[in-house]
Amino acid sequence: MAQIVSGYSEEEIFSLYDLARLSVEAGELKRAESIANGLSEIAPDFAPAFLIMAYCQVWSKDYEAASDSSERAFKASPNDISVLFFVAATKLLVNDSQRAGTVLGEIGELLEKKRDLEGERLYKLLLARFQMRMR
Amino acid sequence: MKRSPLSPPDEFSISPLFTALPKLGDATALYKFKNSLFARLEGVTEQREAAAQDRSLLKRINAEEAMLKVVLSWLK
Repeated sequence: MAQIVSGYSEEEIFSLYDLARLSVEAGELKRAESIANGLSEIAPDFAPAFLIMAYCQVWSKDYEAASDSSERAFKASPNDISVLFFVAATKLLVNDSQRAGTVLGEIGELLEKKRDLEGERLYKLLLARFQMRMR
Repeated sequence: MKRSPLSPPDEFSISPLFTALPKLGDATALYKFKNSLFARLEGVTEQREAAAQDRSLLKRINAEEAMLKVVLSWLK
């Protein structure tokens, strides 16, 4: 579990994150971003909070910020496939094809070890975008 | 119209990223934490004065306070 600096329990952190995720799903991105920003301060190693931030930043077309948030998530959880998806997607958005390609390779290896239909679909989508960039 | 391969993706191609967000916790569990979250909000508001000279602490307090206000508003 992530380092927690403010005495929140793991259940509280996860519940707050779930509310942020639900807010994203409902299109309430301001609420999601506010919760994620708070989580990033009270649990600075909790990678999912940075993914919520990255998602909101992608929607607001702040791709550099989304890329930075994804990298912060990567620093906290470098082997998490969710994090790798965000790193690959945001690197494509900032035209860092080299890093995107490396991370897509890591995702491909992880998907070979563990079956994940949703993951495979997203992987194919990102791979197609990457290949389009490389043409 | 043909899009440049270097142009950013359209919104449709961004939305699948949602599926990559991990599923953790249960937001409805926040109801049982309502009183403690309210107490935390009072606590961070009090800390603000003491943190006036410490920019990084103030940043954390502001972010936590904004989050708690949003969450408590959702819990109403």
